[in-house]
Amino acid sequence: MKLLRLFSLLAFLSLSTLIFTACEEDTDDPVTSDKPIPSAPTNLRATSISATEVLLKWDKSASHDSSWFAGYELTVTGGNPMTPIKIGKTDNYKVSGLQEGVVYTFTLKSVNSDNKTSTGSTSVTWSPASRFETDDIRMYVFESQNGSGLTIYGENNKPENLKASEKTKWHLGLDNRTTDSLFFGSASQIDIGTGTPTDKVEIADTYWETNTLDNIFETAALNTLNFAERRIDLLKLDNGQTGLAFVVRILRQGQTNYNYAKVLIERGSGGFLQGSGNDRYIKMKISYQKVAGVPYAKTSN
Amino acid sequence: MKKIFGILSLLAILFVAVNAQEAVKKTLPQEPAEATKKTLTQEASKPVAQPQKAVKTQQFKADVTGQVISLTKLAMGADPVVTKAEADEMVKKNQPLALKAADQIYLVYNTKNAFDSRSLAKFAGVQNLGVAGEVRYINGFAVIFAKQMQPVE
Repeated sequence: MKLLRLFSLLAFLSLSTLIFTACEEDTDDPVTSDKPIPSAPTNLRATSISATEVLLKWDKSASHDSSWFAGYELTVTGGNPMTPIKIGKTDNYKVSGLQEGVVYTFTLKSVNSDNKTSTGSTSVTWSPASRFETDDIRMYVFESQNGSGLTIYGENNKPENLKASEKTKWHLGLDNRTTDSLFFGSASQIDIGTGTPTDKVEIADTYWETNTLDNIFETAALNTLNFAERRIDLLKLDNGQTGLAFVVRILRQGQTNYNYAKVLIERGSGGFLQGSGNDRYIKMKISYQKVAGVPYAKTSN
Repeated sequence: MKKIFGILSLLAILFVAVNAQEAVKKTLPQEPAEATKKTLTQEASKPVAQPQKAVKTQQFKADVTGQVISLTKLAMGADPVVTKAEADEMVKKNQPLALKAADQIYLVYNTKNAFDSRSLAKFAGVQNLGVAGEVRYINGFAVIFAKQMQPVE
């Protein structure tokens, strides 16, 4: 019995020591420190990669190169709730699992090695969009038996080349008949074919020199650009190296909201016209927002 | 005891922190370079307030109609009419092309007063190529300063 009491006493003392020690060590928590609060990143911008993905890019925090700087924390609101995403020391991030037509707000903060976040943040509002990059998105020269027109989103749910006889369906057109010019433009501005296009198509006066749609980052809503029905001489814009990307919007017959698209005209080694003979063509890649009234982006700071 | 607990706590925290970071870290393998953003010049774009009625050939009026020929082949006494492939090859070799109408051979210049075999080559092989522009006769040569070309009926 005495032995049992002695054993209980020892056990009690051990437990007390353990609790006391643990409590005492809480006051010396090694996680608590005086690491500086990092400055916020700035100029968050976005581009749509696919119908479910958005690529973000930002200007790094001024604290980015400090030893105590851990990275960034991304919050996504809109659509299904998502837990904040920890990102390391980088200046870009691809967000997956999104839904086309849902407008998301992405907010980015800096984080130090103690997991303390910056007081400020940068954010952008954006929506993913469908991407069409097959080899057959083409508009042919006037002398070809193939068409000089294109519908961006045709009856087969993808871009389609159209002949002059299908002019009413055209969204965009190509005209190579003028000496030293190569015109690309709204269907209404291309004088090929008969009939009036049913959809109104406008092109922004902003364009990008690029070989891919993946690096066109924006912070402002695309509907803030200056749109008009236009005919553009590609040869006047040719820098001899890159393709050209334009923002196009379509007001479909009977609709009140525009569908937005980015159209990249690729440049081959010899220029925008590729192929040979009478079947030369321009080749395009297209990012298209299938949901009307979603101009990809609105800026929120 | 205190030190042991301290070390164990620190190791546990480090383990959690490192694993949490690795689990969510998703960066692109290469930093994407950004495209160069520009604004259309007046020269390159043609905004139109009122959409034009699109009719294929109504607005085009040819001043001269004919076929694309090679002056080199003409000089050699061969049939001067060239195919598209021949014309492209000749342009690469800086050999001159011209427009052969029913009664006259025209040297074709563009609106910048440059000899324009390149534009003619686009329409080589076309039976009736219409060229709109100003026709001048200079020292016995017929010259057309082409504003527009297209096949005609």
